[in-house]
Amino acid sequence: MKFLEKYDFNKEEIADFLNNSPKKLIDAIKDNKKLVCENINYLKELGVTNYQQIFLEYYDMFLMDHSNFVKIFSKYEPQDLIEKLKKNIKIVEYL
Amino acid sequence: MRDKLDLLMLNNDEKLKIEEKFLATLSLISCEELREVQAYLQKEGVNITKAREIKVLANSKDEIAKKFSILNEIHETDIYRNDATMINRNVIDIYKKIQYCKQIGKKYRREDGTYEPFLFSEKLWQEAVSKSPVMNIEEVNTHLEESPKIEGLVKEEVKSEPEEAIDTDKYMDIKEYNNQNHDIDELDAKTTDFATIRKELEGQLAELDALSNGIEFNDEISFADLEPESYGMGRAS
Repeated sequence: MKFLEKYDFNKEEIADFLNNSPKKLIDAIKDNKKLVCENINYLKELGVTNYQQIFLEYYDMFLMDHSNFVKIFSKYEPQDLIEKLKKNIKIVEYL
Repeated sequence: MRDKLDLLMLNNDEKLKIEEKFLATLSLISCEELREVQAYLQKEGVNITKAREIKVLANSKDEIAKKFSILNEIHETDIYRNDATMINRNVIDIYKKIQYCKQIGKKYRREDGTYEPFLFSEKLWQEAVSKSPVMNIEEVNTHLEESPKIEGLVKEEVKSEPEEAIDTDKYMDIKEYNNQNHDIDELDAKTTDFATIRKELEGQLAELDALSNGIEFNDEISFADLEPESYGMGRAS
């Protein structure tokens, strides 16, 4: 899971994630590292400041096909979306 | 996938969220596993009602049962009934934190029975403990290291807890290794070792047999035979 360090996750966060997630999903994330990175990168480049927090809570979502992932977030005006996500990451479920 | 979605007892909105965003978990589990886990959770009074909770179903029934049994020891399985996603959290960590709160008399449940978030987040926990008038964080850490004693479970779980300067890649390697089916050659080597030991022992037995040849053992030995006089020793007067 060292690849997460590239996205500014600290060691503690990674260890916490590994310790508190089902093994099947951890394995799926490792096996689909490229896809997960693409999706994290998209949020990062969009300007979502708390993308790490979103990943740690909704990691299963990052296994989505990249084009479908983009579709979810691109429906909204970026600045408004960034602000809303900053206030409450739970809105991810309703996008 | 449709079959699996139908097995979930969620309303249509939540099912839609799964279809749109959280389908990955369902693709990792079979219908049979899903039925098994769901039946167990229902028996324990846990209902999966939210799309974000379905990642709990990625655990096996045995893993979940183990977690329930640990928290059941301290009668705190409500934690899972309040929020099913807590099942994914490290149960030993939660157990230790609750035990510690109980010891110092710190409140960890609200009036409505829900749990204080500091039990689940390391950062909040450290903050809460730092404010504790009883111990400082170093003392708490030492204290937590020493407790609790859960038969056959603590050792294994504690071992997997990452240390501060852990090399996460290395950590995963070990985890992976533990979950792999080990090379059959390793087993063969062990079997060979046992065979060698057995051979050696059989050799030693044969030698003993050879040495005992010619010596006759009398099955019936009377008490008189055991008297010191019988083998030339006098009694102490």
